[in-house]
Amino acid sequence: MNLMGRKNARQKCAELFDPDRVTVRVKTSCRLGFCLPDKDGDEEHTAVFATMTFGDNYAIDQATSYEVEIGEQFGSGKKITTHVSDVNEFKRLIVKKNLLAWSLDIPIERDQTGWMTSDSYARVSSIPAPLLEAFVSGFEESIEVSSEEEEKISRQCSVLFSKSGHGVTDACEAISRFCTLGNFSEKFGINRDLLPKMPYKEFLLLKIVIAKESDALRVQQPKSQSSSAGQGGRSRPSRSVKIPLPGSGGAS
Amino acid sequence: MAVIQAKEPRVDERLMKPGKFEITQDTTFTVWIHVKERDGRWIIMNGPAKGVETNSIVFRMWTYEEMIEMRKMATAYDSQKRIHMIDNDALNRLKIQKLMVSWTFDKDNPRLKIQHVNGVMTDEGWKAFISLQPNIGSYIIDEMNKVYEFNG
Repeated sequence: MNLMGRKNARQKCAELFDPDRVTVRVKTSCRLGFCLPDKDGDEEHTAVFATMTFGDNYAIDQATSYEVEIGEQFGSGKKITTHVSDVNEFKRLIVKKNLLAWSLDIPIERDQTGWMTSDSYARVSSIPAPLLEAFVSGFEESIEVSSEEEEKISRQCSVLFSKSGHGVTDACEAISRFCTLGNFSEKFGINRDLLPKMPYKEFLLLKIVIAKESDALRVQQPKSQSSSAGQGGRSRPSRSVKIPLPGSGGAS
Repeated sequence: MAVIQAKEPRVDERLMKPGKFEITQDTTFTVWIHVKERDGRWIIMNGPAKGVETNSIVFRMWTYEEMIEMRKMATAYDSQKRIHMIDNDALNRLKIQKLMVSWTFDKDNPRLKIQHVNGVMTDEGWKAFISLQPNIGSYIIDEMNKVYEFNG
């Protein structure tokens, strides 16, 4: 395996086993006397962010949203307003809330609430703007769902959930996670924290059986709601039989 | 007789010394501009040559906090398009007023001297900047933005 392949594998493994952290790597070079992002640079700096959770996003969104006027109601002349999020303030709060550590020589300190202290933020935010912006942009990429990704999900969902659907080949991340996690959690109570630790052969064997079960049940019950990861890389709707956890009674 | 020892820096000064990556007042970069007079107008040249006048403009690197603040000041919500829009002219003006440290255009003309109050260029300084020929002003802004927006 070449160096790049090994690096990618290590990165994917780190993401899988530590889903609470996002590591952003930025190539840099020293030009004009300061460190700036440079894709051909000879140095690399890293920043570790806490994964943006629903709670983080909600808190930051609430803190940065403000009311704007978007027009007037026809007839009454009453002002119509909406709430929008301040995109610049959002970037500032991402640093305060989610930046945990980095390879630069400036310490990051947090208070008991988990937010970066004011003194620490004053030092952190005093580095060249393009460098910190590159870290923040890298982190934002880990949150965003691109329009291409969204289109692919829509396309595959329409196949997956159609009446005559037999699963999806080359499932995208969303479908793959939905089917695998949904099915293993539903059947065996294996959640996203436990699944990466499962022996792979065991996973494969169970996946094959789930697919067979799904095929068999399709004949009996053509309509179904949930889905499973199937054989041969196909993700397909599940007609699952729930496997009870040990000590919870007989098989259904 | 008491021996006076060399005074060491205070502990807090030692501790609070800026790190390698922190911006200080000395973290600057220079934009060079080479101009030649032709038919009463100043033409921008590629480099120094005979009859070409060279000037320099010194800018301080912006910090992340300054970038956020300036972009906030230059951003407005467009209720028609339902998106936030950055007014780049306003942003460029803010960059020049807050981050331009000095220039050499004032060496022969004291009227073009740049003054700052509380770290911000005075209105007279801004008037001096906009009194330059538009091609010179645009060139300075483009070169400045190469560093601020496009990583040098």
